[in-house]
Amino acid sequence: MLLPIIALVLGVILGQLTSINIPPALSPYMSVALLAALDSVLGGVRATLENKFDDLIFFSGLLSNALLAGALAFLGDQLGVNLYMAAIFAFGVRLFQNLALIRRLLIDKWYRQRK
Amino acid sequence: MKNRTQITLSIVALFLGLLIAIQLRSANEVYSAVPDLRVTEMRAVLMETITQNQLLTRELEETRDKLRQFEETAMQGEGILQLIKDELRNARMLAGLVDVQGEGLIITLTDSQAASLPGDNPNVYLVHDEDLLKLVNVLSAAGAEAISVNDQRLLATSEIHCAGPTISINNVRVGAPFVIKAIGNPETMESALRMRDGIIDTLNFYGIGVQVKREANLVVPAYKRPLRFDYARPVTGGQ
Repeated sequence: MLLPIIALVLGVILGQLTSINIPPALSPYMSVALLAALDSVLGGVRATLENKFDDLIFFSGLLSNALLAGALAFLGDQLGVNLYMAAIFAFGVRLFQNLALIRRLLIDKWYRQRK
Repeated sequence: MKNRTQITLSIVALFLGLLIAIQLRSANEVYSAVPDLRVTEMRAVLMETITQNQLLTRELEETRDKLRQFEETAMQGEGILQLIKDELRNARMLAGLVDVQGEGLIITLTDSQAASLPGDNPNVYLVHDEDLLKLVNVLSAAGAEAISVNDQRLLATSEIHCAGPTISINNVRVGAPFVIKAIGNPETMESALRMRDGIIDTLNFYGIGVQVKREANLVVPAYKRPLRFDYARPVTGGQ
């Protein structure tokens, strides 16, 4: 479990070192991309705890989620409606669901170890 | 946890961290695009320029007064010169170089007070240069003899032009509320404005406040800026 956390910190440092700037107009895409990544990480952790992690499912899920969310944000931009909210909402719900499952799995594991 | 899983997760975690860091910095830069210090500094410069501008305007007025005095002393006592003087006065009135008074209308235009709805274009709630141009045109058509907008006298060369959030008139930026003073027959001018589907109806449709007040005696100020002709010269030699 240590390596992903190290990678996260490394990513933050790398982001600080680069000088990429996102224009404010792209902030919907940025929020959607952030949530897609966050959702994938939590989903991956959950799948690992359930012992059914699969590279292909993981990456294809990340890619398709990000693509759909980006397409929604783009369509919303064209129509003048905040459609990217739909993606944020869906990702948000999934985040909490995944977190709840991870919590249950960890607690289960802990109980089993004590017995 | 298997090694492979860890590496896969790590790649996405790296990406996540990168996104967070970039977004953090971008958000910070949006808020600090104009630092407070710079705003204060620029405000000081602006205030100084405004004061200087006022000073120069006063100086110009004084100089013009002096010129008028010279002209008057030069023309005193002479009968034929009185005629020329009268003509000069008329010409000055027509050119907008003297304050004039008489009965007329005071029209006040204010930006719409209606709360703009999300997705609405906020532009339609503002007074635009076109609105002012149309209004002034209607007044001229109704026989207005002297017109000023926010104390800027309209001359033959005056522009009413969009200048960002303000409107440029005689190269002076003026903002809402716009007070238009027009000397002329108040009845004719008011009915021209209030014509059905006329200028006031149009402006009211967009929620722009229009107030029309008749005045028995109002003063339209003179043109206060330097008169210069860089290109135009009178034709001489009886051509």
